[in-house]
Amino acid sequence: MQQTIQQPHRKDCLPFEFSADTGSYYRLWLGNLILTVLTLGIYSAWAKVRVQRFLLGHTRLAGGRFDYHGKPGAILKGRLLMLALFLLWQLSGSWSPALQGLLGMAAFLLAPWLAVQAMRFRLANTSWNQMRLRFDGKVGQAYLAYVKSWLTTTFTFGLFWPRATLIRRRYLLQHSTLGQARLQQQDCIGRLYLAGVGCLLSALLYLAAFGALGGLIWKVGDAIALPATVNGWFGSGSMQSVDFAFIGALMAAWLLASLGYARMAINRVLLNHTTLALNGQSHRIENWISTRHMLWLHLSNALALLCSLGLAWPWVRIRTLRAQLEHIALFGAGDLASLRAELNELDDARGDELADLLELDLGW
Amino acid sequence: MVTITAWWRDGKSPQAHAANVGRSEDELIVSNGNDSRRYWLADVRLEAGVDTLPDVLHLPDGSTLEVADRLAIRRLIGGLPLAERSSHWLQQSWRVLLGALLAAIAICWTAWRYGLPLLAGVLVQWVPVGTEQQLATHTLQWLQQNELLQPSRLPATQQQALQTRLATLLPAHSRYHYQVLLRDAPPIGPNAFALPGGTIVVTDQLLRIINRPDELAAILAHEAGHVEGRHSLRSAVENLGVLAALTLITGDASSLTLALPVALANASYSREHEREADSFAFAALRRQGLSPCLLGYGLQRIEKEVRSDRAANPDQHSWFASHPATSDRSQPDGQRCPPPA
Repeated sequence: MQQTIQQPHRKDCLPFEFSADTGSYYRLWLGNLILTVLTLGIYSAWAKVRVQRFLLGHTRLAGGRFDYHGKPGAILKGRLLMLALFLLWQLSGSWSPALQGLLGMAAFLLAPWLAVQAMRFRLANTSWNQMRLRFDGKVGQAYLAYVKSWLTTTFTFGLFWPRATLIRRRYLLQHSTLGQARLQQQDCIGRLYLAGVGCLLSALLYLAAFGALGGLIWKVGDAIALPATVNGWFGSGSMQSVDFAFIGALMAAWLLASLGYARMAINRVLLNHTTLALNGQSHRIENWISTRHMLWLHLSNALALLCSLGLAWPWVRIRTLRAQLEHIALFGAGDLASLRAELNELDDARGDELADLLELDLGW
Repeated sequence: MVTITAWWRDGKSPQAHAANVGRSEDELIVSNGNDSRRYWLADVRLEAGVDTLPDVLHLPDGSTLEVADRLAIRRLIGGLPLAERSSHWLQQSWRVLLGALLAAIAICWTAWRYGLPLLAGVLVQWVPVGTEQQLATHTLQWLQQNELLQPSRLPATQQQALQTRLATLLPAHSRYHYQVLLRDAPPIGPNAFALPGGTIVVTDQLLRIINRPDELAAILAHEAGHVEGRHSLRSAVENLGVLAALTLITGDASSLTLALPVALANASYSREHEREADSFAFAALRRQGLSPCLLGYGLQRIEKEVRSDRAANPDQHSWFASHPATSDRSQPDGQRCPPPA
């Protein structure tokens, strides 16, 4: 399918560019996979750093490269801690369900704190033109935002989910800074509802598509007497297991496509209502990927993953990111070259003993 | 002096300035037109570029140098950090990558085929008999609560006879105290299974099919082989090992994608245990002056029954799923058995 990119050619347009190629990412992914398997997962922390550096390093905004500086040690520490807590939670179930409930509750209560830690780590270790991004949200504010968001969800039985999403996102964005530039989230509740309806419709559409595909394969299988062949080879009843596996794979593919579309569609609305405030001027972010493009993208992604038993994952990831980034730009009259980061901020972020001790990547 | 061109950024603003990088003794020299700065090499940190991306040098004052000529800069500062070297080497060519992939597969296969069973065998030796018996008690209770096992409908003398027969088949100094339990189990069908610690459950349904005492003895000996080999505990350790390894690798325990590899690995382990129990039974039968072919005859009878049962009811779970093909097992140690009388 030929996709025309209507990138606006305007003077105040600062486009995103994505230059990663699939072959290189395949090599990176395979190397990471091998070393992760051989080290029983320990290498996954290094793998994450390499993937982030590859993807961000190939992303440019206004000609400036992004980069990632997370230390594998910090990520490994975070992952081991999370794994230990998860195992504790699993094991506690067999000792006493009350303890398990208590631990689950504690994890729930810690979620805002975790979100702040994860954002702080991620942004402090991401740079644009070697200027570090920064998250300056306080934990107290995080609790306020998250509790508000949870209460909104619970008391409306999830009906006000756009408001709940916006409350959380507004907190996270307005504390995300690059130098004196700061992100802001505008109101877009009506648009989010529309996008939600769109997601439901797309899920139905995908259901019809995968249902038709499954039905077709079944018909063909019947026509060539596949069940009899399989039962003959592997014993009677074995076709049933094949059927179950096939249905499971189709369901997984459907879920993958639907969730992928939903995420991108909701993100499109949120991004189109996000602004970057710089020197009193407001830059708009625009994401103009078309609905048709998104529908086709996630359908073909799911089909590729299904047919390749997951081996198409690097291809899927690169083309999804490319589709997303080629349709995003920043509009505004301001000059990103005027950005200034305070150096003492940097020193604070690096030199704080406690922050260093607590330097964990809890975002997975 | 070698000089390398680089982009210098101060880390506070996005502007990049062209700079030349050189080295003298233990110092890095960054010259920017007329201005020149010196940094101790020990304070400079290199972030190696992934794939084709440039290297970045982090200088102690928070500024950075972006260097496109990666070979030159790595040579200049004395090579990559050790941790980064292996992954860079691994990634440089498809041939190296495929070689590593094959090596990884071989290592995983060896660990799964030999490493984990060996480890399980060593680990279970530390489990006291009392613990094994406790486990068996729990399992029995569970089976009874779920009405999979019910009291036998056959006379109590049958169970006594089985118990006596089993005693003659056991090795002289077993650490286990054996107990045969005869139970009615319509959901399980014709079967005998060993619980850890020396409990062997025989179903009424099995006794109905196999009325030759010698074949029954062969099946009892096979189950005793499971007990002596501590196969229940070993399976538990092996299954847990496979699950733990896959969880560590993928970082996700609840994923449905793990179910299939775990199930496949476990089926293979249990086939191995069946073979071990078979050879235990063959040896026990020979000591009694009986033919090792008896086990195969008994199993064939069960298989025939299960087959006819399954033909009538194809949803039934198969007893033979975890067992080697019965035709293989009727050839103890490679010798052919005459057809059963």
